[in-house]
Amino acid sequence: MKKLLVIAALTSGFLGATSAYAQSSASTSASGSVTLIRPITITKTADLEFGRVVKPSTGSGTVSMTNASDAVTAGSGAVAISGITTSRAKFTIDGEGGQGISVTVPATFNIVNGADTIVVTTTQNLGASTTLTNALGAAGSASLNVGGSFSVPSGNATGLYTGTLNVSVAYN
Amino acid sequence: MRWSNRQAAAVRLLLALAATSLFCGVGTARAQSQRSATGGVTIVRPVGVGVAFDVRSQVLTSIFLSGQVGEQLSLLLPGRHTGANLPDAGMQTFAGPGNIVVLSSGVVSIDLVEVDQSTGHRRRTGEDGTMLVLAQFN
Repeated sequence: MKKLLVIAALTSGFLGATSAYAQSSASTSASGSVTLIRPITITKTADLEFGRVVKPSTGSGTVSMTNASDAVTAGSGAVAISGITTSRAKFTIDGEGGQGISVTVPATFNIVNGADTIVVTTTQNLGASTTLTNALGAAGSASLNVGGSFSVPSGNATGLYTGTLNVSVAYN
Repeated sequence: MRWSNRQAAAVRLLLALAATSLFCGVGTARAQSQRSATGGVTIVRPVGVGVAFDVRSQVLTSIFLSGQVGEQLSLLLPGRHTGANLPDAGMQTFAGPGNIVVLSSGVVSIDLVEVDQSTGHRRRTGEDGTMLVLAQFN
């Protein structure tokens, strides 16, 4: 019995010593970081102006302007009058260099004169996704040009047709 | 009023959840910019050119221009006489320098004959031969 008590005492003493030396705290480190980029902005520098177009006597004429040129081309009876200032829509996109952005241009938009509507189909020079010039840490930019095309039925009223083209850009 | 430990823990948990949802809200918002441009075109009616021919006298008496009121056209006509009794005086009312014509109405007539005051006969102005008339929108 005496031997048993001694063993028990030793055991408890050992256990006590063990708990006294066990690690009760731990530490490590994590790094914190953030990449700050400048806001993205888009500025209009030119409207989409098709100038003056003579409608066809019969049928339906076509009018188009590419996103690479300010020249208007007309056909199928429609005639673009020369000497009139025309322009594709032009925008400048500014933001952080090297960043991917999404460009949203509606596939079509309407220009209206009273009860008559012309549907303009747009074409733009940037893809749905593009990258701003330069690298992170410097200002970047991109030029967005939007052209368009439409049909002019002979029955359309003469006069000025206008409409609004909304475009938006965002960081990816 | 003092909170128990359990109440305090619940409050801390709610605050943590609120902060997490706020953080997620900011993280999912997209930085974007939008701008508008105006699209426009002016549609005008087509220009037309017609002629009037007097069968009895075998004379081309006038030409007609049809188009949008206010439009300008460049007009090329053969040499014309001038005089108070000649139709050229009428032309001067709408033909400007360099034969630029501004359409004052949808249809404009340009007489090509003159009337002899003594006989009343109509005869063509200018020299005989081919006459070229050219009109185009500027």
